[in-house]
Amino acid sequence: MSLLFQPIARWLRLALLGYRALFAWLTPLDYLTIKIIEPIAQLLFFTLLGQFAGLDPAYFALGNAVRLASVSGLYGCVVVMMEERMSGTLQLVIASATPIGQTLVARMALQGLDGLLTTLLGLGVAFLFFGLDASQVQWVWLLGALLITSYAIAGLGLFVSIFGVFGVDLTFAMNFAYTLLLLFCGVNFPVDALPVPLQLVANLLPLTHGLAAIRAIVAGESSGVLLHLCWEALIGLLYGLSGYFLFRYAEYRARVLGTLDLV
Amino acid sequence: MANVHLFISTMAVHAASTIKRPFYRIVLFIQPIVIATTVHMIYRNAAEEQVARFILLGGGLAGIWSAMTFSTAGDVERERLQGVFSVLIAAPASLAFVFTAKIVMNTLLALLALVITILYSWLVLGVHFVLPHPAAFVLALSSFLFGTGAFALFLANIFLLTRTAWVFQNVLESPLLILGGVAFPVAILPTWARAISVVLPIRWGSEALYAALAATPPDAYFWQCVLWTMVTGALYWCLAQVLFHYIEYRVRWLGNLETA
Repeated sequence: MSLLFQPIARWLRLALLGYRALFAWLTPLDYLTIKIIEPIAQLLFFTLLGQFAGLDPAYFALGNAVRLASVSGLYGCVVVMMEERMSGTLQLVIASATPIGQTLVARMALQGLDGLLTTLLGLGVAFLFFGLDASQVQWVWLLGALLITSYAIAGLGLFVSIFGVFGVDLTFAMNFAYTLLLLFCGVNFPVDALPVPLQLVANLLPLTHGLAAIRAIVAGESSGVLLHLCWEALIGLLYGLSGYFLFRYAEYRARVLGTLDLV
Repeated sequence: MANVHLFISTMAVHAASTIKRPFYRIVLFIQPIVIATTVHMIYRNAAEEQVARFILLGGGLAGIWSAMTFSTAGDVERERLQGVFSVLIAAPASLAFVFTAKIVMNTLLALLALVITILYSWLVLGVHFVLPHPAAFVLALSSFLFGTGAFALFLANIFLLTRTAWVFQNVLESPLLILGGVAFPVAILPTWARAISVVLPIRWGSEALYAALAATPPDAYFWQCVLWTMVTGALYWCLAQVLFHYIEYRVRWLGNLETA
């Protein structure tokens, strides 16, 4: 029996180490400051901006609460890779016996979960202080939609993080992807307010469909929710798989050319 | 003369090292565009004359503030991480002198955020920049830059006391954008938040700039905002100088700069 659980325990340990690698050197106070005060402050900024414009603050609070998942899902995944390169441990990851796919999925696992928790925190603020109506919410659907959205964003995070191996500046790539999510995915204004070409871009990004589904679930509507969630899951999966195959290619290229840490 | 040369050299080295940092380039070039676009889209159904000021200044002022936080305040942490800070302490030039040169350069670089916002708003968003009172605008902008610079210098000192300054840089950015009234007036905030904002030069500087872009001539409130920006800025400047001297004395006395 213990033989059966050993791989699971090993995988969980891998996931935990990948997550702690981001925060292990911070004090608990620093960690809580980043995880609680910063997301709430970001949410407040955009919600107050909308409120000043005379629009419904609940719309902004909900959009930004869900968008907060990208702070963990996107930034978390990318920063782990940046730290790996800076510390010179990427070679060890590639050379180790653990299949690379297992390592990458473990990296994403807790970042997605962390994104979900950050979003729940933001939703709590939205429900308590910005009049977001909770009476119509179907909680099971909402949790499912948040989970899918958070992991879809982590899929994008994995995809973006791989570009670092090919010499792309990850700080720029990560913030560029974050900007796309903030501007194009219906966080602060509806996607259909964008020009048509940009709407097409929005539909290829995670968060767009997930947020649309979440807005519908909170409003108590059910039509289109499943379709949006299927799209969100598919888009997240495609980014995640693309990230995996790109990494395999980078691994192959690094072994053949021996240039892993030279680009 | 040697001091002038040192000041200019410090500025030049600082500009070269700052502009090379990818994150700084994002804060300077991308953030103003993001905020200007968001404000524009949010106000897309409002009358242009009502919102032009917020589109034009919102992104620019946010960019200036972020650039100042992530440069001036962040410089301290970077100097420490790179092991240069102890060299600066040991150098004949005072720490306050070196950081003043850095902050002047940061201020000049941060101005780019405003220029980018104005150009982007004009060329892409179609919002025209009209300066009804150029002299008042220049005065308000100068006081805003002085106030934010002094406040960032004060924060730099506070960050000296921790090895995880980046945590506080990130955490302070949005609250100060809210309390500073850069993209919406502080009048919409609760009373307690407005009370905190009274001691922030960024708040008075923002209000002075918005007043300078109004069609009506600068009134008593404009002058009051400029005055408060300068007063609060001078206060933080003095506090920063005192802290610099205290910290410099303390690390020389205790010898624990690299271990604290």
